[in-house]
Amino acid sequence: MKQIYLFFLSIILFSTYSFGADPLKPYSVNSIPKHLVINANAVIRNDQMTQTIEDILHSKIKIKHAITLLNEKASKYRFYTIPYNKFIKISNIKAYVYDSNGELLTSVRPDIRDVSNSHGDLASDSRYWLVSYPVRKYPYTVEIEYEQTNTGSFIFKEWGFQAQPDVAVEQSGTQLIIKNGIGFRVYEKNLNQPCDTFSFDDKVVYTWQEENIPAIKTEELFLLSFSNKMPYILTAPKEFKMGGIQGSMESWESLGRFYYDLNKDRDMTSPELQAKLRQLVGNTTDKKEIIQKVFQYLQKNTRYVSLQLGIGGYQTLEASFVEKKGYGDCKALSNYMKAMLKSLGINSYQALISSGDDDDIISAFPSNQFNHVILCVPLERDTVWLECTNQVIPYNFLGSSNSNKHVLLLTEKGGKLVKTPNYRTLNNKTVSNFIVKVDIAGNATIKGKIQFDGVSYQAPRQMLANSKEDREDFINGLFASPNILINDISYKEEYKGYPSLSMDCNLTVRDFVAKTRKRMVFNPYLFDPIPYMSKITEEDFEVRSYKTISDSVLYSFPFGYKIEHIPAPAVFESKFGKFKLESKLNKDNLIVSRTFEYYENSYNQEEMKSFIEFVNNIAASDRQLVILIKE
Amino acid sequence: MKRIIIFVIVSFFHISLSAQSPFPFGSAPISDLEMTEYERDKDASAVYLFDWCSTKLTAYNDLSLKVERHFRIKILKEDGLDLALIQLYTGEKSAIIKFSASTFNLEDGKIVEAPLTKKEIYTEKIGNHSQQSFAFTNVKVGSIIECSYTLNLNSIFFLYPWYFQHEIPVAYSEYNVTYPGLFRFKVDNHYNNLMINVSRNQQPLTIGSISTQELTYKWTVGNVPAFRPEPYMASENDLIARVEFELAGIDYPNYGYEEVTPTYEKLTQKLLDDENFGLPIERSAFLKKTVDEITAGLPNNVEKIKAIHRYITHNVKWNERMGIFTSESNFRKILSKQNGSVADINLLFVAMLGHAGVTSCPVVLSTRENGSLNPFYAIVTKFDYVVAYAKVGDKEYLMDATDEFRPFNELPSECLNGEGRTIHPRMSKWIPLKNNEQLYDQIIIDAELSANKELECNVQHFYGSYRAYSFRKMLHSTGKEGFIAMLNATGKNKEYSDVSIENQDSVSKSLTVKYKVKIKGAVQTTPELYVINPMLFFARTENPFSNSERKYPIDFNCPENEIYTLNIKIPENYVVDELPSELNLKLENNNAVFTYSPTVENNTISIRYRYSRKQTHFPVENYNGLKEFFTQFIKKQSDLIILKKNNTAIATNL
Repeated sequence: MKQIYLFFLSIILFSTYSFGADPLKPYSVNSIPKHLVINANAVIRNDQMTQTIEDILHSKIKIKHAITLLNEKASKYRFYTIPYNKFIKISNIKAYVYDSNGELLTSVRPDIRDVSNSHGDLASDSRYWLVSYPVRKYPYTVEIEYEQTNTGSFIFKEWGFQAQPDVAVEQSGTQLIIKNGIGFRVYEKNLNQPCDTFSFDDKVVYTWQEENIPAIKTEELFLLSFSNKMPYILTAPKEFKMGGIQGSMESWESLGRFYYDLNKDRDMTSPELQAKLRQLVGNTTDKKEIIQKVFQYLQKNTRYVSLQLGIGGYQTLEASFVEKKGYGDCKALSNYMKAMLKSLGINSYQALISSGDDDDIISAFPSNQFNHVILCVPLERDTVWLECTNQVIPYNFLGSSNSNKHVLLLTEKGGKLVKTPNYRTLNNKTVSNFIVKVDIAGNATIKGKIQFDGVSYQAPRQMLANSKEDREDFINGLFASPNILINDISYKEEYKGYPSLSMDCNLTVRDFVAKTRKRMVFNPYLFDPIPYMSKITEEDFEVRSYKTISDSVLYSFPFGYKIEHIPAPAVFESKFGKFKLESKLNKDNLIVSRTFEYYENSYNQEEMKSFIEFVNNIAASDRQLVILIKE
Repeated sequence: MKRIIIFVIVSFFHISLSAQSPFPFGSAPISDLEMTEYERDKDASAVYLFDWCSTKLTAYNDLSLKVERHFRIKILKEDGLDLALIQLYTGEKSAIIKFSASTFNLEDGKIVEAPLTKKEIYTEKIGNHSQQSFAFTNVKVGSIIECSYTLNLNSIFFLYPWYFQHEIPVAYSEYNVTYPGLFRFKVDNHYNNLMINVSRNQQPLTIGSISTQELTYKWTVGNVPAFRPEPYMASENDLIARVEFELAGIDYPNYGYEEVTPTYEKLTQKLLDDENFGLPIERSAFLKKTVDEITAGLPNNVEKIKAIHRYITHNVKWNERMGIFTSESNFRKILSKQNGSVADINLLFVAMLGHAGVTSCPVVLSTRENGSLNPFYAIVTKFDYVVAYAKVGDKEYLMDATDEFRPFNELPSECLNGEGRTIHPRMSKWIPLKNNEQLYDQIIIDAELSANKELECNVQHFYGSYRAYSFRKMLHSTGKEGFIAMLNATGKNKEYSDVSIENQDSVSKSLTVKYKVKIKGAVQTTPELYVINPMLFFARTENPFSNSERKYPIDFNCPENEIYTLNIKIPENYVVDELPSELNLKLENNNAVFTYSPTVENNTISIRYRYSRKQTHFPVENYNGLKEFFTQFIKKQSDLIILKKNNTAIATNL
């Protein structure tokens, strides 16, 4: 039976080779269709993955991948990595190099080595095989084949038919061979060919094939998001097993339940710690205040250390471990925080999140798309969010990398998909008030205060707390001037339900104005003017930021000069935001105030033109000059 | 060097007192725990209260190196917490034999110790090495972490290098090295500006029947500042205070001295006899035929060099490996593999030049990243690159054939690192590592104001030497269309057209880019005035030297030349009201010069400037002068042209 089955498979694979190619030398460069070479640095000749799911615990993957490197820019595709860990075994790695005629070079042996993947971890069993092909005169073709045996069908491999924009694809496909009765789900995006299905014996074979995908022109990459265009499928099991626990990915609810069960009863704290926490809380009854105090205790007494061993990649360390050692990874620290709150009678949930500046998860497709864990504390009228791996992040603030993301709450009733707050739109504000004195030499002193609220607080917090060089860099960058001398600088952090930082500074700026024989000319806007814009996309677009900026500057000028010109007032209001510039001339001073507010929103492509106009009007206004002339 | 065989010296017994850390473990005074900032460096996120190490080389039944280390770190800020995760790299078989590590915290006025056990060390294989990791317990801001361990290493070639300086300050650093006098080490010390005390001690030593001396060196230094990188700095490898070693040879009683790594005097012969350096060149007679074909009919040696250079760059790709030894003992294999290391390629280059009758030889060097060479001791493992030298008439060339986008007589910028050593049986010498490499830009702009107050410019930009190289490299990957797309993406107030590129493929010529560009906002207007910054979008706005203090010398890699000309037509009905003034700046000996001159002729304003910097290395004392030079240079770039409406003309028209 097995032999028949293998025979069958090889027919399927063989038949996918494109017609017209010499079947004996499929990798000859001449046989690449000409339209695929345009704009491409490399061409995937054939890329096939077959996943065979035998039962809930066992699956096998076979991969064969051949790519022709057309030029030096393709040099990065000389390296191929095959990750593995305790649950994944790799076997039969074979790597070949073919010359431009498709002739196998038997004397050229690619380098294959076993590499640790634990950069900066205390311990990890994540490793990978690194296959490096030699550099040769281009073009040439490299090919890899290997097999993977998985224990625990927890991870189905995703399939991106065209992994990179500069790679064209002759043929790319994947097959899922699955025993009848084992459920699975699939998420398809941008596919050109429908899935082909047939069954034999007790198995069903699903095949997805895509072919002739051209590379994308470098200049078009400025115009569109590659990840939104490329054909892609994501498959996931309905049922799976890990660490002896059975789970289901049919819904977020069931996936959450699995994680909850895997991590439950690991939140015991010692009586000593409980006593300490009760003492810390004292008579406080306000829950938010209690959470805040415990969170501060967490920040003071623990630190982040990555520990990824075995099932520990998915299961948290016991709270008692963190209590004793004072460190843990994101799972362990959020679990520890949860345990401490629990001992005070406050219920909280760990929340899985895909942290980082990338896109959100595909919320329509329950599966493991997460890389981080935070803590969610639901209160009667409100929810408190805690990032437990950072010693300086404010209470109830997740930072921009966790902002506006779907998270999976792990509750006793199963998983629940909810969204984190969008910090970009919450109290995101900077307000500044400065007094600028221009002296007769053209230098200026700048004195005043600037307040950063909400997510704006992150950068100054990080830079100001560091070294003198970082503080200087921050000020130089903020005021967009190369000649700043810091006379005095101080800052204060404050939590107002959201983070806030106010900075007082006293600066001297050399050559603040451009001085001519008769005149002094300068831009009264103290910060970086907003850049001009031209058309960037033919598609619908998003403004992923929301902010209110308001600045007011009072200028006084040296004796002997009078105003020749001041900026014209400006008001621009549109669905994208509001802008207002005023300049008021008093007897011996000038006040320039500017407010700018823009909204986070999605817009359709027809609105691009008016968006650009709005931005460019402001860009022009930001570049207006003050001109003083000798009396 | 790869073929060192060290005889095992058999011995029977040996007694010696090894050095001991002068700091009892766990003896930090309460004042250290109470400390909230380090007096000498208030920005420090942590400080080594002491950092002590003792290395002992013994030669009993086996050669072994015992390294004992003991340090104490005070954590002062959140980012100092990262120091509480320790990762040690050791040989595959070497292990930690003695280990104590504890965290000390102040709780209710009392010192509380949280010890770590040896069981909590995680070991992981990484390549041929073993990584030992451990994380201190209960570390917070204010904690002191202390650690003492002993390692047995089985490689003695480098002894054990010691860093006095780290990214955080070190209050006290001490290093002890003990080894039998049979061994001779080259000591490469980088003390930089630190006042380091060195003392030497010796005592008689008997190893079996051999009587010799046991030598002990001790380095001590206090108040070592944190190492913080600065812009335009030489390699960290030149600047971090440390001491390194390389085994020079072994003095066997009754047998005599056996050299393991040569002195500079013997280096040449040793390399010429090496299976992976000199011998492949000697055994390359088979190349003669190919060389004859490539160079047939060429009139002179320079043309022959160019042809061979072109042949190699097009037929053998660099595999990004460095080093001075070839990967094969025969060039045949390199040519059939079509790829090779720096040594494979450039020694092949030397061999082929020889067959073409060009006087040539290899030059070994250390790249910038790798740091400078010790001029007194040949630290042979420091050489990490080899290039080809050729002499035609009186002219000398230093050449590299690893990259087809570079002309034959230009070295990669990484190689411009002081001097290299020629390897030739009759003329081994130091040679400055440079031809005429530089950053060269010339920009010529003819501009006119359009009716809607946009500036319309015709730009010609000539890129020379390294600028041309990086431009060609970029063009090769983006293509011309990609380059135009990048132009359009950079400045949204600019509209480009008629972009043309000349000499893209003639690498020995400068590369020219020509285009037309319309710039919005380049002219600011009031009802009476036009205000124009003549630098348009070419102004340098960032002063590389904005910091008020400088610790390390300024190192620019190569000279720089910039020539800028803007010709701008005065619009009708406008007259020049103000022009920028002339300016001449120069540093001592004209090492850097900046001249700026405006003129008006035929209704056209011309602004010209030239910036030229010959010198590449400036001592730290020159920092303020250099900073002022750049401040003035940048300030000049904000100078303005002011045009005024010619009211009299309008009046006449009325």
